[in-house]
Amino acid sequence: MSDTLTLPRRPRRLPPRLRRNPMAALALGLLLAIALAAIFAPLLTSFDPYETALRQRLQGPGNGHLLGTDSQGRDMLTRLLYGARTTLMIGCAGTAFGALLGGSIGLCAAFYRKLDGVLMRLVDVLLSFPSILFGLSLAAILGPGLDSLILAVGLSVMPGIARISRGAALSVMTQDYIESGRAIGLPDHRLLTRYLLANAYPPILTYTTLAFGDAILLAATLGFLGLGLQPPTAELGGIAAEGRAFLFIAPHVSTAASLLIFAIVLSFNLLGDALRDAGDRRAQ
Amino acid sequence: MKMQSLPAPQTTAPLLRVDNLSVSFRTDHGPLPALQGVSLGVSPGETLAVVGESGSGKSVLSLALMNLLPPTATMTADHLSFDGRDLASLGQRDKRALRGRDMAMIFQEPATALNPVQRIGDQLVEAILLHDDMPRVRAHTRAVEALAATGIPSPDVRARAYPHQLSGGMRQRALIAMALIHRPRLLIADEPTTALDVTVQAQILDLIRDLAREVGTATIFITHDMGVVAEMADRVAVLYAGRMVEMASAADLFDSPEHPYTLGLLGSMPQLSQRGAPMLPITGTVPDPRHMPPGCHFHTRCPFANGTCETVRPQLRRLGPARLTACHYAPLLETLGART
Repeated sequence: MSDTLTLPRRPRRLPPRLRRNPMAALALGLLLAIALAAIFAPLLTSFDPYETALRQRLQGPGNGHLLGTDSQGRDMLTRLLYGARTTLMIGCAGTAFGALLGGSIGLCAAFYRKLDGVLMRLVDVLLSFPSILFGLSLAAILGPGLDSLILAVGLSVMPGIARISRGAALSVMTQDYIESGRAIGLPDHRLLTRYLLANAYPPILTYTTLAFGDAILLAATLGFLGLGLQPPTAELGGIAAEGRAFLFIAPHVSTAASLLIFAIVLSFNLLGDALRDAGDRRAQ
Repeated sequence: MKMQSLPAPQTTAPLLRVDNLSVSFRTDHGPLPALQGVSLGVSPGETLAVVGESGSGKSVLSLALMNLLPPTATMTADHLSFDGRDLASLGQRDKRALRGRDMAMIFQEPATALNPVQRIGDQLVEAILLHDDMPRVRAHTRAVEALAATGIPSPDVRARAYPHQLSGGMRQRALIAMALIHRPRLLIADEPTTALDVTVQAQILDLIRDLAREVGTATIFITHDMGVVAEMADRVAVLYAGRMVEMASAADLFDSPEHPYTLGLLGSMPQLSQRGAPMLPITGTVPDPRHMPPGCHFHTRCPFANGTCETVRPQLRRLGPARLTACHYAPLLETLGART
């Protein structure tokens, strides 16, 4: 009898949830497609995103260029693929940085109650700035460049993640297993990672997914306002800004870049919502 | 006001000794005293039961002894030593080294005392490797052996399970395995059977007693169940509203309880031998620690209370070689006999 004893498999949760939520599945698929296309951009297009051909400028879709050309005669599809590459990279690195910093601050504030006041007031100060304004001033202070963009995006998404992390961690801190972990003599860093983080991460992950969309939007906005990477670097916000001057004669330039930003941000939001719903249902 | 403290009665050199321990919590409405002037000791191999109803401070006592009080608590004691070492002089690192290795704890709620995202075996392995240096594979073997020793069927399979895949009784067995894995010299069991079925309770009690005897640990058994006390304890300390009101050997306590509160606790127990006999519950509830009645804290609920009890707080008095009571009328039989 006991020889044949097996434990029930841990149910795999996500796929059925996604099947029940077709919008989220669509969003995930779209994001994956955009990300893959951006990563493998050099393989997907034979054009150079920086080689100008002034005689073919501002051509509409067709004529050998699937999405037409921009004001310098560069292939729009290629520009968009490379632009998505840059924007996604800034969003990814910025969100990762913000999540790491915000997550650490939130967990430490919940774990070391003495630090709570100081850390959270600090976060409140950052939170009181609108993130666009905050990113703008930071990018302006630090000057344009990839590093300062990532820093600006990261610091803008950090406060929200810190708050959510603290909340999630505080509810885990009331659980008996934290006490019993202490009782077996676990050092703080293990309690923080394997007990606190391991049990508090679902809401943090959900929020981070939502923050990803904000980060992309902020990165594109900074690019649009000219505080992002400088031309000729392909960046979605920058491309949208370039096309603005020719909006009446060649609307496809700004429109295509804006639609791509829209699609990416919307997908992240749908995905985040779906993750939150899945988490809520699991909690019930 | 400092309470005069009597040294706890001892037969052999105690492993753990605490004198005049007080704990209070900082709250928005001012300090909240949870324990006041508690003195006790346990010797190797001995089982001391700490009894009291909810709110009497018994769980706070166990956390204080393990040095696991939350940061909102302040603790003072004239003396707190473990194995002759003054615990107050030890640093955080040394205290952590003691926890889990020399002093271990079993919690009340097996459902929530295990980390839900870690396999049982991995938690045991972690506990082993914290205080013992050995290869992971060997630690795993030891973990499975420890589970087997607690009577868990198919321990190798259970070691791969997550806590939610086990029953309450099995989780408590796993926690016991974890607590006893380093053969601790002191085991603090905080109501380890309260959350379990009655049938499982007896098995778990037997298990704790057998393993503790085998390892030779001193046990502090915290409970509100006098049946469990009769089953397990050598000596009993009775707590009421954060103060110790009686300390006696288990036999003496059941034979002749000297504090009316102890009498009440015994009266609240159903008696199989006297079927139909009414239970004598203690009326009322533990007073709010912020608004303690003057005099004896128990006088509002005590059937024998009179004027003295309302004004003068009784101190712990020695009634016998191993017997302390905080009641003006102890020994009860003589005084009350004379009164009627």
